[in-house]
Amino acid sequence: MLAFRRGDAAAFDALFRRWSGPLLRYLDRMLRDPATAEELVQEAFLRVHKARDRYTPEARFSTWLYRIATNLALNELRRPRHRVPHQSTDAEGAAPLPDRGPGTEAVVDARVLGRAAALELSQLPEKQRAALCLTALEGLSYAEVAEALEVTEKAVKSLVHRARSTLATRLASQREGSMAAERSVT
Amino acid sequence: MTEIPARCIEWDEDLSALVDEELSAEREAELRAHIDSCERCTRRLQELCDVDLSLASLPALEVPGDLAARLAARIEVSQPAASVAEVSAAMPSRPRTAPPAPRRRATAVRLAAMAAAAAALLLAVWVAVRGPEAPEPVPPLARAAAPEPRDAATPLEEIAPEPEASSTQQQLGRDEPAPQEQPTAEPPIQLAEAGLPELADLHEEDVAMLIALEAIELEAAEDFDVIANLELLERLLDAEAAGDAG
Repeated sequence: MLAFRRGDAAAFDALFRRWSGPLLRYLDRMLRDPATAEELVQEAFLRVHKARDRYTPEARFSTWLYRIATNLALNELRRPRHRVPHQSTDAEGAAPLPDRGPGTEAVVDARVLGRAAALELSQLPEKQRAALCLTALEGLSYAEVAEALEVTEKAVKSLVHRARSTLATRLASQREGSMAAERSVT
Repeated sequence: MTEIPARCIEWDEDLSALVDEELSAEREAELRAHIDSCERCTRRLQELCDVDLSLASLPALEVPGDLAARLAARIEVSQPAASVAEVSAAMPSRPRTAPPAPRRRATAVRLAAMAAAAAALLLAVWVAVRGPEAPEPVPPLARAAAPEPRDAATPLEEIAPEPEASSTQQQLGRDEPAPQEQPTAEPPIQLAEAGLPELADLHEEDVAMLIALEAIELEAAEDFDVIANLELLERLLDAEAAGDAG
């Protein structure tokens, strides 16, 4: 019991340490705006703090937290003032790529594709974006995503499929375009 | 979007579910059999996997070092009016309109706020397990294990620097359980200020303070210890949920 108390006593601190990073990553992917993502991480944990006595362990804490964060992100995205995405750590062209050296091509290609994926991700409908981020990046199951998004598992499967398919088509098209450009140069 | 061949339509959505490992074993076997004989779905599966690889290659933001302190400051200013009134009534000499705490106090404020929140979580579970009539004396074992006041008092004193704060140490040092009707002095005030007026209602001040102090002591714990504790908490919560459902 004492061990339990020790663990529980540190719970809020531990929860923040454990989940602030993933939550920040998720919100940044959703918003492409690090400053707002940080604000919403705070807001999410503030709501956790306020609602602590109403929390019932019907779902994992992480699912509950992602549900709060998703609602905050969707609200933010629907605000009229929501902006054109500004420079982010993953913004396209934000930082110069390192010089290509032996063995680095695959890494560079991955970064280029990652930037393209981030841009395409931001063009997806909000719920598709959230479903794909939660599934592909955060590793939630469809059941957990369904709870976070307050939709059915079948709807999650469809959302993720449409999101991933759209990105796959666009990225494959970009890749083919860049390969064609390389061929024309050489 | 590229047109999907008729023979692949029924599998298309499942390709993405295969990436997510969300198919039943039977459906996965059927799909894999189709993929083995379908060049288009083989290529499409690779493209879908590439999406995840591309997204995973994005650099993740680092959590700013002061984010926890900023959160603690927001928690502090967002306390319910009731707790503010309670604090004001008990400590009329303390102006509620005082300027914000300086940065150097942020860590202590954060620790106390987080510890208090953790105490609330524990009490919610503890009361739920024991039933609504929960108020009981603190188990002697827990009291005996209370951290030394010398280690734990400093952050609390920074939050409530009034001389009366020393009564907290005296109270924690007692061996006998706290009387239920004891007039609420410093401990409930501090707890209310940290966001726990409901603890005072439950007459569990001693428990909460003890837990809070343990949390502060645990602040220095390694991450793996904290995560282990978190997992323990989640297991217990899951077990409780299963018990409630059963």
